[in-house]
Amino acid sequence: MSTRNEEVDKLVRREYAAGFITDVESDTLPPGLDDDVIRAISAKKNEPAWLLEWRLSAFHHWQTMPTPNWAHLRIEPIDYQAISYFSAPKSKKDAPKSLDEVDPKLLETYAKLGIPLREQEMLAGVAVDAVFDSVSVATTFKGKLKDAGVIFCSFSDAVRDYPEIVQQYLGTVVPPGDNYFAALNSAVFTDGSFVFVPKGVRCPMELSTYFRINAMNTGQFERTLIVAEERATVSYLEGCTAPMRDENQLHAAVVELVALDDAYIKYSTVQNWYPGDENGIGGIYNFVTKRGECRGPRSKISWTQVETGSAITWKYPSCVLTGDDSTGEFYSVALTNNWQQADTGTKMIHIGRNTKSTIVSKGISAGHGQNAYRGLVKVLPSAEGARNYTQCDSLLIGKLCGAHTFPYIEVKTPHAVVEHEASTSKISDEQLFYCRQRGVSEEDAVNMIVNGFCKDVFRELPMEFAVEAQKLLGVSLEGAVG
Amino acid sequence: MNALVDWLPRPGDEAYKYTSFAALARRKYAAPAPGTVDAAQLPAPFGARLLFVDGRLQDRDGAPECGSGAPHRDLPESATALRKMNAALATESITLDIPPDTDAGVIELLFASSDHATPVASYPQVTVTVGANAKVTLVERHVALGEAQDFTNLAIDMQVARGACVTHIALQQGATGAALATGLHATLAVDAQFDSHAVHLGGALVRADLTVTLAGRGARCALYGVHLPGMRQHIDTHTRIEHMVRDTTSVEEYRAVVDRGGRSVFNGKVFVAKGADGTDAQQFNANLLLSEQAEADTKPELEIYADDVKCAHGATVGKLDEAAMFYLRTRGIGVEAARSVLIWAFVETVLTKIPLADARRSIEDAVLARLPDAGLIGEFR
Amino acid sequence: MLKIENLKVRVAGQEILKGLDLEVNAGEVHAIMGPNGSGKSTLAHVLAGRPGYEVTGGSALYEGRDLLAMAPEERAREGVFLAFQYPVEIPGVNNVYFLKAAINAVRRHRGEQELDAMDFLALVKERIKLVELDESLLNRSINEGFSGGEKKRNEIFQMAVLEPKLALLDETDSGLDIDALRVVAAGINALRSPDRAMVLVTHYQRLLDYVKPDVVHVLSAGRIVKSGPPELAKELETRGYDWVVQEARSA
Repeated sequence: MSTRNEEVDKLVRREYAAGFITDVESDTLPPGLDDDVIRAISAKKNEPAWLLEWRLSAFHHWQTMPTPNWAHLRIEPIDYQAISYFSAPKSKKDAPKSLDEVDPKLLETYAKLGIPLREQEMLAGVAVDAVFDSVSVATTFKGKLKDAGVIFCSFSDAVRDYPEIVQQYLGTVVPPGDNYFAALNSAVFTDGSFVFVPKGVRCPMELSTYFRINAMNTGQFERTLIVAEERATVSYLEGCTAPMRDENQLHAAVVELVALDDAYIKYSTVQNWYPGDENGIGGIYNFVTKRGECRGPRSKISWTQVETGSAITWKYPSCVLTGDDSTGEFYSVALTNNWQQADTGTKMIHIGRNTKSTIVSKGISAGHGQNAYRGLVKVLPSAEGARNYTQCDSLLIGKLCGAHTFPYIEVKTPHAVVEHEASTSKISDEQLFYCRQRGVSEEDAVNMIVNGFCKDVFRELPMEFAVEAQKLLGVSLEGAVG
Repeated sequence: MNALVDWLPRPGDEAYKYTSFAALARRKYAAPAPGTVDAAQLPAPFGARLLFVDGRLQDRDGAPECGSGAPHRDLPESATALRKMNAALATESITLDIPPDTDAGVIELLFASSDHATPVASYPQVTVTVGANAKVTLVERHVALGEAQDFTNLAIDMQVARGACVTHIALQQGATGAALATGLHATLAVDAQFDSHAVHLGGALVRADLTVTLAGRGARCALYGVHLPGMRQHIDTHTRIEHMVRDTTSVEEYRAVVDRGGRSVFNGKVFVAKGADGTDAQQFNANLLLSEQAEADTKPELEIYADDVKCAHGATVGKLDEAAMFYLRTRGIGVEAARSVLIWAFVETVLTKIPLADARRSIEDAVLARLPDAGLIGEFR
Repeated sequence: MLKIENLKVRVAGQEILKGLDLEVNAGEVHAIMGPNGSGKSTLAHVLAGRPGYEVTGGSALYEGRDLLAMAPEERAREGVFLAFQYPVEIPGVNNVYFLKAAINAVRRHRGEQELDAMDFLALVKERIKLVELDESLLNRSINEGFSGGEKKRNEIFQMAVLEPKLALLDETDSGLDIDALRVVAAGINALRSPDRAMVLVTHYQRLLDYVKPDVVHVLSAGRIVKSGPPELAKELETRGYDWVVQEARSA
């Protein structure tokens, strides 16, 4: 994928050389970040005054915050003034004209994952005028969702069309000053997704295929807000098993989920961004803040993630269990190969009575990869009858990788039961030889063992996603053994 | 101005996330005066005794030759703040040498706080060298003869040579308002063994750091501990086990019973260095919260850079089993007695591992004295 | 079927097999006996292609082809089966799923059509009776939580499903009680056929009470020092190995 990166570099350098147009009306803002840039973003998007104020206050808070420092991540300092915080969708002339111009390695991966040709073109960013299939597909979806009363649109559209709902919920789960990257996102986010499922509505479909086709190029500071009203149910699938053409090194997204009484939100992620090459050059920094609040009694939020991409992943999809009898779940597979680093886990904050949480984390380290689970289970005095079960397993492949577990457990009531277990294992030479002796190739044996290790998590994924995720692990692990 | 202020953990120091020593800055401490204690007031020794009064070595009773030297002031940057405080403020280091191929029996380091009015801050430092194939049981015991709210910051460094075997038994019964920090670091050579049994009953603010470096192939350690914090007691143990080379083994089990107003903190890190294949590390931490306003914070950590390892840890927090309580009561056992039986069962699994019978008996008695109705248990012991 | 000439093998820098000769024909059952450390298991493993076993000399031809040049999975697909002395546990990988992957790898290799789920299950259910293994074990992870006897029976069961041409059974009798031994032996006997050769590696002759070999070889210090009829095993049982070793030395 180095070719692709060079292309990107070239492109970036060319843009620098040409200089930027500072006019607010233009497509791209110059690199740098100050009040004016934020005003420009907000004006560009015709935002209401309250949102501009919200952005500015987040920005002013961000300016006071120290850059985070993690003990277990190797990271180059990021120059925030070198980033351009607004750019309209890339013009077609910069994009590849056909698949022939796309990095063959990328195409090889698509083929292994069994991605249809048409989708390959879209994922690789080929400049097709309109994506024929998707227009009609999208229209069908839109009609079906509309009939059910579900709002599903871009964040910008939501600000324009449903400002009162956005204002009511935005920042109530992840406050603008929550952490360094959440504050940055709050100040400069450009777009993202918005889902609103009204009372008693069961969303008639997985919000997935639609997403794969439409919600691309949402930028590096993505903002997602999902609200499920009383008794509403929704399953949202983010990301895609195929590596997407991506030109931003830093991704700092924020996802907020709100579940009211008896509501259920299931949020599944497959993250496969560019991890850097085999020497650890390049790759995405993925610093995401994802948090859901089970605000109403008996509500439930379930996070499932398969993280195989990015050079650095830093994310802790969390649940604030405010409502009595509410449930939080976190199922995760994180794979690091070559020089990838992942620091991921969850936070389960038990506030309401009889709240329950389950954490199943499977970390796979190969090559020089460093994989850390970092989690918090906090039970407040009010959370009588709270239950947590955590299982945290690491699989090591090779001698140069690392697997780390840092669980924080804080319990402030005697009426709670918290259990945590962690283990490590490796793919042993004996296991591989045993499989090969039965005629199974080494590569298949590794895939079999890895998939066996992850099956508790894959079970939580919607069916077709699970199949793709399995294939993806295989692709991501290529070259890890032998 | 207290000399210790400069050395207190800084806010945001991850090693002191759950335990603040900031209150010490507001206290006035005197330097320890050459005090005396009435020997009759001291508990019976478990073996040869080195008596420290208010942090100063005062008496040797049958204990082997020990020396006194300049304190160790050089510490790695990674040392904890309180360990650095000890290094900076200690006035001497007591050295104890166990010659190779000897059985030194039981040596008790008794840290007695005398009965005095103004609280005292002291920084005792002990360096123990255990020769090849030697054997020793080292008892670290903290008692108070008065109610002074002293601060003791003890550091013990231990070099355990090839094939040597050390048993460490810590019994901490400090004064109600006392603050105590201990830092023990044992470094083990090939085939050496270090077993530790720590029981914390007293003190208001207690922090015990226990680090074992398994530096020689075949080295192994077992760390056991019990915390029993009650009203206004905060007891924190941080253990760090470093598997630096191949074929090293560690087991660890810490249990805490937390009563109203008490807080237990446990942080157990297992570190496996690159190339330390064949490492076997098992760790377990269990916490029992008896009441409202009781808190347990636990953080079992694994940091692994080798693949051919067997590492597992588990942690639980819960309360007394209601079904078991009910069962006992249907058999005619009163509530308090039933609670006592179940609490006892919870900690006894760790206490029975204490190999020195006198010490075990004494520790068990002290634990039983903390239970609401231990009469029944006495009969079954 | 198998022709080994002057085979020399080093493991971890130490020469274990020091010029071993052995010829096994289709339909035959050979027992390889010998004292501990004589190289019995090394022979079984090197024939199956275990990594870390360095062949420093000699050859092993399997159906006229150079066996030692093949990857372990290729040998398996060509019909070489090793029943492990210590079957490996593989957590999370379902026994049946694994077996299906294995059998279809073999069938693909032979240019045969892969078995579909129905035919495969029918085959499995038929063959599992052979070793009286509880069907519930099929849906567990490979060998995980199996008793010693169950693991050994699982090996023979896999052999029954995969139908190898050359079966190498490494200490298959070790750790089995008498009932389990009978079951395993019955399974092995049921799989004897004119097209199949078997090599039983064993320290004791008790398995040979139930599975009658055609030839018995004594392996000592990396060489076959004596070969003889089944009665040789009995003699070894009563007289031990020393006399053979002595005889070989003086020869």
